[in-house]
Amino acid sequence: MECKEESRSLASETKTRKSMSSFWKEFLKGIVVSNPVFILVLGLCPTLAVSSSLDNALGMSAGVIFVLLGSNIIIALIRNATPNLVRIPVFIVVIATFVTILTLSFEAYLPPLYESLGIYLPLIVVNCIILGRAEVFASKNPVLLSIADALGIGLGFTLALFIISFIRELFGTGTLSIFGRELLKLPVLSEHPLTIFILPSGAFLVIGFLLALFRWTGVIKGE
Amino acid sequence: MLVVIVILTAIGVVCGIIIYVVNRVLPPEDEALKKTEEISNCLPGMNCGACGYPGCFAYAQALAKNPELISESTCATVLQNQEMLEGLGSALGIKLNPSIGKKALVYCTGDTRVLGDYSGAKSCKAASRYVGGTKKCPYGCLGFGDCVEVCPEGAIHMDKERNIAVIDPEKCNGCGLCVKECPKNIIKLVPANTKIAFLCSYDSLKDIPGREKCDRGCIHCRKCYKACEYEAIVWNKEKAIPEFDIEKCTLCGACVKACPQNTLTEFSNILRKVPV
Repeated sequence: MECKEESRSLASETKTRKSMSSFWKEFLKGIVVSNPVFILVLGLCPTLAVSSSLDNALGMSAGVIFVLLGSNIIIALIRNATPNLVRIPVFIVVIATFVTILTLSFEAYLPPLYESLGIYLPLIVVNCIILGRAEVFASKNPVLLSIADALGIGLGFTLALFIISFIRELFGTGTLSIFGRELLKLPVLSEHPLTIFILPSGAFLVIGFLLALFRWTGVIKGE
Repeated sequence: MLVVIVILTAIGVVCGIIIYVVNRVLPPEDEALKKTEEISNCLPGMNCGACGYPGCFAYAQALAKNPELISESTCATVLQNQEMLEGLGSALGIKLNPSIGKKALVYCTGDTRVLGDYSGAKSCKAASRYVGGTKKCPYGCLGFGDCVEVCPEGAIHMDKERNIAVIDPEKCNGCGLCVKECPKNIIKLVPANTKIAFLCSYDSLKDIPGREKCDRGCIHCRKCYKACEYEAIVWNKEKAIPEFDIEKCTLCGACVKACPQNTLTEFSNILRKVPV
């Protein structure tokens, strides 16, 4: 009797440990190994558009993490009830719900950020990172793993946006500031900033050079 | 197929309910937005852009932040309409009267001498680009009438005799389009209740028109300043021009009489442009 109980508890323990380890695996995977921007090269539209300043990039990342987490949870929950035929409309409806919630709360609590993100906030609905994760991951995996995936991919997106906007704001304005607080001011650049970094073409250049750099240093492995 | 439709509809309805609940939980529209909407309702809503803002709502937003702004960039259409003016005044919480408006005034008497024959394009812009103007005074009205064409109210006409643009203060709605059009920058907006008009627009002491360039330019004699008994004229030493205090001016006409050059005119006499 005791033995049986012991073995049962042991089994459940290994099961939880196993699920915990796969949780961490899915979580860490999203940050570097399958970084949504640098490796999957998804969601470039908002990446190019809002990475002109750190504030915008962090606000956008927070929004994407929220929507990704919410949609992944719901889609994983209803994955068995969703008819395969209409799965894309279902994903869109769920994602749109979370984007609407996000837009309403940004408008209510963070109006400056809401204004500076502009059209890119409602456009999260068609962000291919979120739709991609719903299609590839959340619709085939249990809730816990989907949460790990959402957090990992979301953090990966944040990391990528942070790197890009860091470079663009630093060279494009010569200063660095987060939420109105100035962190850094370069002596020469702040007077003669390289404005191209703030412009859309600067975003393409920065992303292109970063991708090249990552390939060259072997962070990203070519096929 | 039916199952699919039912499931999709159910998901949609549930999502709709979630959004409704969230919307109720969030704080209601803040006061600033309500005020902006109230102000916006008092504006004409035709988004002409003459106030300098991208549209009536943007103008309302700016007004909601700073009601004082109305005296700097005024909506010309509201000023013409008593009902709208009162509505806007109560929305902003300040008393408005039509005199907060602006009128365009050509700061030139038109009597500056001509450099020589000019046979180029009949346009102020072209002439000022080409030879810097056709008049001896660098601040003189060129008289080709670029401003006449842009005026939406038809308030500007050319005085052919004197070759100068004249703006009718009655018709002018203060939109400022002519101000932007003039390549010589001699049209300026003045308060609508201006009493005395100073018809010369040189910028610095260095190039005062003087008698050899213009028959009616200011010669900075300070006679007007001395003639004023009500301290309504302040002498601007840097530019050497008189500046007028509308509140103190009694329109006695002493300065107009004192001016040896007839540079000063009563604002209401602008149309006549009488040289004595």
